[in-house]
Amino acid sequence: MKAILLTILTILTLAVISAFAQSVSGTVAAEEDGSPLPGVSVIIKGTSTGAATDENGRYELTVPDIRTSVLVFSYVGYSSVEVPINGRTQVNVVLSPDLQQLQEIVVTALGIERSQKALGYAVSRLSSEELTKTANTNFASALYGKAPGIKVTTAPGGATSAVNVQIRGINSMTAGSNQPLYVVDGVIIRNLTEPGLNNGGYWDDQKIRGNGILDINPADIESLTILKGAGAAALYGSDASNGVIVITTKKGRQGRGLGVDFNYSYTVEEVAFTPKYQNIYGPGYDRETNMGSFGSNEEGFIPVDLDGDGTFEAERPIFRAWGQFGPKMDGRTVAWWDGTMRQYLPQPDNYKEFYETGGSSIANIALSNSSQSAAYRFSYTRQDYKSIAPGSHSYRNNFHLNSTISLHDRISVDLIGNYVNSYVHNRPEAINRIMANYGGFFSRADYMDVYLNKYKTSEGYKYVPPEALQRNPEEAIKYSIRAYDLLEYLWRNVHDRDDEFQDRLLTSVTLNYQIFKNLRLRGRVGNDFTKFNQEIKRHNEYPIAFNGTNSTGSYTVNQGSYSNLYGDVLLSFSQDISSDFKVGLTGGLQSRSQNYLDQSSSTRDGLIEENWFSLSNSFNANLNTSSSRIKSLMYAYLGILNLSYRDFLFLETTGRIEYHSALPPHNNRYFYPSVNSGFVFTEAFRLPTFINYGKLRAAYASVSNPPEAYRAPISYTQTVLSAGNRSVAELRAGSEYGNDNIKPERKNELEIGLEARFFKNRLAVDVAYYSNTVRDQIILLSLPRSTGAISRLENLGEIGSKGFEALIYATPYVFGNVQWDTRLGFSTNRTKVNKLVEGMDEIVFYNGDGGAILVKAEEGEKLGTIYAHPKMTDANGNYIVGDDGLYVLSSDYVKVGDFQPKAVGGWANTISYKGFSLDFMIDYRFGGKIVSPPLLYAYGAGMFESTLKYRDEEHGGLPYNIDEDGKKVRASSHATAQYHDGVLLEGVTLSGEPNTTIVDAASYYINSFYWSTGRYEDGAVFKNDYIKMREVALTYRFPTALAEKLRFQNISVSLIGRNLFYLHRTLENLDPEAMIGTRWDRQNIDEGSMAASRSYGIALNLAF
Amino acid sequence: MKRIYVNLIIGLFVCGLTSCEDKLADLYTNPDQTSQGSIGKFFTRMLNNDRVRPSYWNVRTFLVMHPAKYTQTVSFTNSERRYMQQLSYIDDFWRDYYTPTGAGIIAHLREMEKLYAAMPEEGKSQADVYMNAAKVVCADQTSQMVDLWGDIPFAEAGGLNLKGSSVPAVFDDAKIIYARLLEMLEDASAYFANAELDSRVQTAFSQQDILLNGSVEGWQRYANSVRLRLLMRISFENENLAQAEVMEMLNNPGAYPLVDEAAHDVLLEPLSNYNDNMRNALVEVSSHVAPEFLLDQVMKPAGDPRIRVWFDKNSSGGVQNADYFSMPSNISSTVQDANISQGRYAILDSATFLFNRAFPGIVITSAEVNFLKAEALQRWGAENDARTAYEKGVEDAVRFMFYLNQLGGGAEDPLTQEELESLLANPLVAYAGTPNELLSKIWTQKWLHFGFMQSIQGWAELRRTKVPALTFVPDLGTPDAQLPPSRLIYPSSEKTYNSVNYAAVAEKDTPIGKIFWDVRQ
Repeated sequence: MKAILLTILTILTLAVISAFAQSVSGTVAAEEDGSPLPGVSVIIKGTSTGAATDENGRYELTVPDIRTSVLVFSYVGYSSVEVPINGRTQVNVVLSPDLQQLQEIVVTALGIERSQKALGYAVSRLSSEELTKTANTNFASALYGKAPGIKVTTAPGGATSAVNVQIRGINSMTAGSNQPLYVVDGVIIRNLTEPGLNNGGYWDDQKIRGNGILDINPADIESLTILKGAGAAALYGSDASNGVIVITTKKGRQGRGLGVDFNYSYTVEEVAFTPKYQNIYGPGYDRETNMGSFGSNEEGFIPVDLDGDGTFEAERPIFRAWGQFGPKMDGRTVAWWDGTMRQYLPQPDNYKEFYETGGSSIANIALSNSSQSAAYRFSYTRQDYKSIAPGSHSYRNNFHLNSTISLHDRISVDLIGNYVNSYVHNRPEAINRIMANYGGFFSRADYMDVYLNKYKTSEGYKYVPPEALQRNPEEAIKYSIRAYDLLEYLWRNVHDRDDEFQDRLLTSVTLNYQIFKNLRLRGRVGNDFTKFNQEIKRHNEYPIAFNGTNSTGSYTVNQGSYSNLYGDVLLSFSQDISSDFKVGLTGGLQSRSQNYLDQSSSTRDGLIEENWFSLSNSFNANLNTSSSRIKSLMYAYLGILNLSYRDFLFLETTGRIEYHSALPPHNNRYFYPSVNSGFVFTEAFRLPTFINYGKLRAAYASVSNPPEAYRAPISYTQTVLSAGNRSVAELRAGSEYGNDNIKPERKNELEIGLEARFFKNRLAVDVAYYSNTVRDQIILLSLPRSTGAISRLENLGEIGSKGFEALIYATPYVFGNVQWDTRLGFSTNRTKVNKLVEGMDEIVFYNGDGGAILVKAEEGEKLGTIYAHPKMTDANGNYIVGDDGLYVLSSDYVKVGDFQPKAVGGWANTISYKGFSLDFMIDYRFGGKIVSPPLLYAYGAGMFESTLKYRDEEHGGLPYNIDEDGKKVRASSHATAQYHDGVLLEGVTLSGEPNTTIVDAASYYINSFYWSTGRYEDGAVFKNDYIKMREVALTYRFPTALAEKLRFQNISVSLIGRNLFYLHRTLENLDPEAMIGTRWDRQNIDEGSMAASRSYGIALNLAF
Repeated sequence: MKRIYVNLIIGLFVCGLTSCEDKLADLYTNPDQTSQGSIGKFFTRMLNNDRVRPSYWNVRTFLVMHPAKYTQTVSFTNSERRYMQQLSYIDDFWRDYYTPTGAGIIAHLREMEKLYAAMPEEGKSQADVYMNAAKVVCADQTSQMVDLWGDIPFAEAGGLNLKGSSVPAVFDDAKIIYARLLEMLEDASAYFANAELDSRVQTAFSQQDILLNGSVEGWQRYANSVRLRLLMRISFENENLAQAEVMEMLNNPGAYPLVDEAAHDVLLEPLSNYNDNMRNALVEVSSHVAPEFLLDQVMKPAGDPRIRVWFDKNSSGGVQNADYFSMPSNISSTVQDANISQGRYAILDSATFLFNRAFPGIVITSAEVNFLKAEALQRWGAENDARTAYEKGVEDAVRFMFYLNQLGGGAEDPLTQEELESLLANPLVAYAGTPNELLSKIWTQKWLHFGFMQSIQGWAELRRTKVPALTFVPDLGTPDAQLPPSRLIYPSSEKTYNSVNYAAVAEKDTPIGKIFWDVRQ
């Protein structure tokens, strides 16, 4: 009875349950390898109910009707499938990847993943392969030409030098650095330890600095997304003005088991693109100066009394001259400044010999694995680098771990850690003192080995100039030379030691919590912490016995710690209002704090004991010490609303309220809105079949750029003086005056774009047009000193950029095993100064060489107009020649060009044939000028081939004789003339007569192209167009069968080359990329940096 | 478990969103700086002037490349472009006068004026001593700017510090500036004549005053002496005014005490942790070698006892030179360089100059004041009084050089009375001759006394008096600058950034332009 009752009850219960809810379960697997797919959304069609698969790919849910319900399985990167249940309780599904869609998942602002289709703004994506193909030492210099709208410049010096990335023109005239924000795995990283690099010119910082992105290892990057416009970057608010580069690092791949990858590359780096020097004439000036000031004979040789007997038995050139107008280098034997007799012959490669052969070696090993509850990838990279700069080398160790752990079926945690340990020995120094300074000019007559031998004595002291003979009479320099600064450079950079050690830890923890099916929480905390140590050991320059009231040599220790703490929380809710209409809503918080501390201690007035490098060995007991710190905090509330209609019309709007400590407290809250929309018209309308895909997009957003921390407040600096036997405090006002009413620079940008693919995706285009204004420009306005300060921070005026970007992908040729893929990028941008403040129509940004050259921002003009004094003309436009036979410069200024390139872009190609592929990348820049005072000095000094003009009969010099009054009289022919280097400038005298005054070639060059007074218009401003073969890689991939036989999954070998040659360039005596500094104006002003280099080598990739 | 994570992340944002706003305000200002000004501390900054002290940069880039060269008080080789003005160095000098990069005379005086204006009356009376002393410093330094350039921005200068306004200042007429400076000095002198400082004010002032250690009388003497200097500077241009005011001062020494005794010399001591010296500044440009005119034409023929503390004979080939040889100016730089490196020329004394780390900044000395008195009395008073002043001037000048030598630990024998008397009796020096000859002697001795250390004064007086008559070897290869200029040209920063106001003075801006007091032929 009891049993019967129980049975009935059971039957009844089952019947009731089955009548109300029928449960369906199953697994979802990936088609490629059958591995389970976690997080797949399973929805009952026509409802909003559903479930997600767990880490084993299992799902379970209750359906209203087991016979008629249909399940919809969808997963990012895979094609969605609809499966009728048909009464089953177990439904297993295999999803196949949607190749087209797979490529279209884009990591956008705040690490939010979106499908490309839904985006209303332009982004550029680059894959890991594109960044590592030619073994660049950093990812940023692999960006050349690869994304339209991006202008990349790499400072010379090699792997330790900064790479500048400028996105869509100039967004700020002076504030910050115009560098984009870098986000690695969702965390904003430190790019710069200071506001800008090398922007103050040589005297501000002699070393060519690096930036923080150099530490991000290219081999660990999975993908890189460039959020170019304000629309794309709006969620970053005040950090977004210069665009954002979002980097995602490689993860442990699901379903591959234990994987090991090994990559190795070795490249040789050598100096390239050196100036075209003349190799005929040696050191000396015009005859008058040679004879009058230097006591030379008419030819330009100084008689030498070698044995001190009062008679001259030898001769020597004027080693002291910076000019190269001396006698021809004819091979005669002359007395050299090192005391030997040498042949007076051209040394055409002596500039190259100053440099060394450099190179890099990069080894990377990566392990990855995954299990049901965790996946990881661990990689180690060792990079050794030797610069072409004498005495400089560096290395770097990168450890990278990227792991994902499932804590629960709805909670997963991503843990990413990156440890970078690096060392730089004698970071390359700008060679301003050699290229932009008469005191460093050496001649083609100079033997580089003499300099390399002489910069230190055999006892390890500094070279001994003739006036300090007593320090070492045997090894002292015999005759005063010109290029002491070259010896100084070698002493500082080869003999002295400057060692930088850096430990950097980048970590992030991300928690993903699926609270309900349509409510998700993501929280992230990240940290970028750097510990920096530097030791500088400067040796004693001479024995301490020669010390005066102080000694020589020094020891300096610098320490820095730079911490960035980042956090964000996002709560996202999504809901399908109907099958056509979907809504997503996200709210969140973001914060970032910085805490930078720098300390420096050094010995003072030299070392008391020779070459003992310790702070306790300071000559002066009071050490030099200093410290500086920066703390800043930013936090913001944000909201995102997404709407989509039928998967072809998308609208997104975002808002951000941000607070920033660099802004005055009464005025530190700002709101940044954005709206963007995408319309996939190929899905909305029926179009001809050759159009595979088409989307129109539009975006409008507002972002900003705040001042740097502590720049705005008006404040005073105290110094304590030791006066007599008391301490007295003095207070100093700011040379850079503050401004407590500063506002952030506000950028508003509108962009529209079109993406389309044709002919079965063999041709694709992506074009964008944008127009923006950036108002309240924060300018460190240079002031006349008489106002009481050198500069002041001000909000002045508005700039605006308009630009067009296009990227065309095509596979123009496929035949048999041969395939050619090509990608052409083009961008044009124009940044104009829309307005300045009332009563001001221009701002002078750069005042070079005592006003000889000015760079301005002028209302209504392109930003960065260049001005110089023109040659004076009369009413008819004839040049006026003065009594000295040289052109007279007007005291007015005339505009001689501007800085902005008109077009920048690149052309990338891959040609593959069976296992071989050839990749080459050409990039170009057209339009815009650069300013190079060093070229003017060197031209005036007669260094270049182009200065041979007029020097002799062969080069167009006029014949003349000198009459008894010392006047140069033109001769009827060279046969009747004593001199052949006459120049008769075309023009009129002040009284209007045609010029008849002949001047000798040397005087013409020296006086027409001299520091500050020269013709800068003709000698220092140049067009800078180029087309460069940037990267070439020829790769052979071993056939899979062969590789497997060798127990590898993949083997490939490449021959690689970077910066190989120019196909075209307008600058003949300067490398187009010689400029250093991160600011837009500095990138167009050459103050003498390092020679550029080219690299070539081999790369090997193994996977097993 | 999950709650922990949620709490952790939310917690990171809870710097308690209310306290966050306070934190933002704290982080706005740099903890290593202050927003609180201080009259006393700004005043100290005005005194702590590396353009007054023999600092490396001032000697190396300004003095020996410009005024000292133009007065031949240092030697220089016949290299190319030797007389050209070094624009960026000139710019630095100009900058240091106006902005806090240097002593910032203008910037800090205006900061003081701003604080002073906002003070209650009682506070003002306590601050008056600083304000008046600052006025004297300003007048002294400003007159040097005018002597170098002529018209400069003055009345409106420092507007940023005073009013927060960066409107560029107009260039004031040099003559009007001088008149204003004379007024400032007169006012300050009157204040110090009657000042009685509260003991607390006196203590604080003595602490901050690193020039005269709080001596009110010292400031009065300094003010009167600078006033005397400026009046004599304009005495050819406006003789009536100069004569009236100078003679009033000289006739009332009780009311107008001067720096007329060595004990009253105004000297800026080096800071006690200063360990540098002038060696590099002078040797780097071969300015340490004995200049020809100074040694051969002025000192040697007069048997000047200063030679032994001014120069070292030097040695060539390990053997001391037979005599003090100066460097000839009319030979090529190659020969000059070779001889310099072989040690053939006498060089500046190592104890007095090259390695003297106790060398003070020379502000005004009794020697100069006595020479000024001598000139005034010679022109407008009794010749006998002029002689007394002149001889006192020579004696103080000689003693001053020995004092510098002794500061540098020099081992030379002290000056003897015989040496001094023999110098004063030497026909080249002795106070005898026509009035013009007498003036020439006064001016030549003053030029010698200024030397390169005070060559800004020396160059001004050389241009005013045209004495001594120097000859320069022209640099024919440099058409723009064959000979030294008669004024400095405006620095390019001012030209560029203050272009509107520069336009008004652009015509005067030539290297051969003359300062208003430069009227004597």
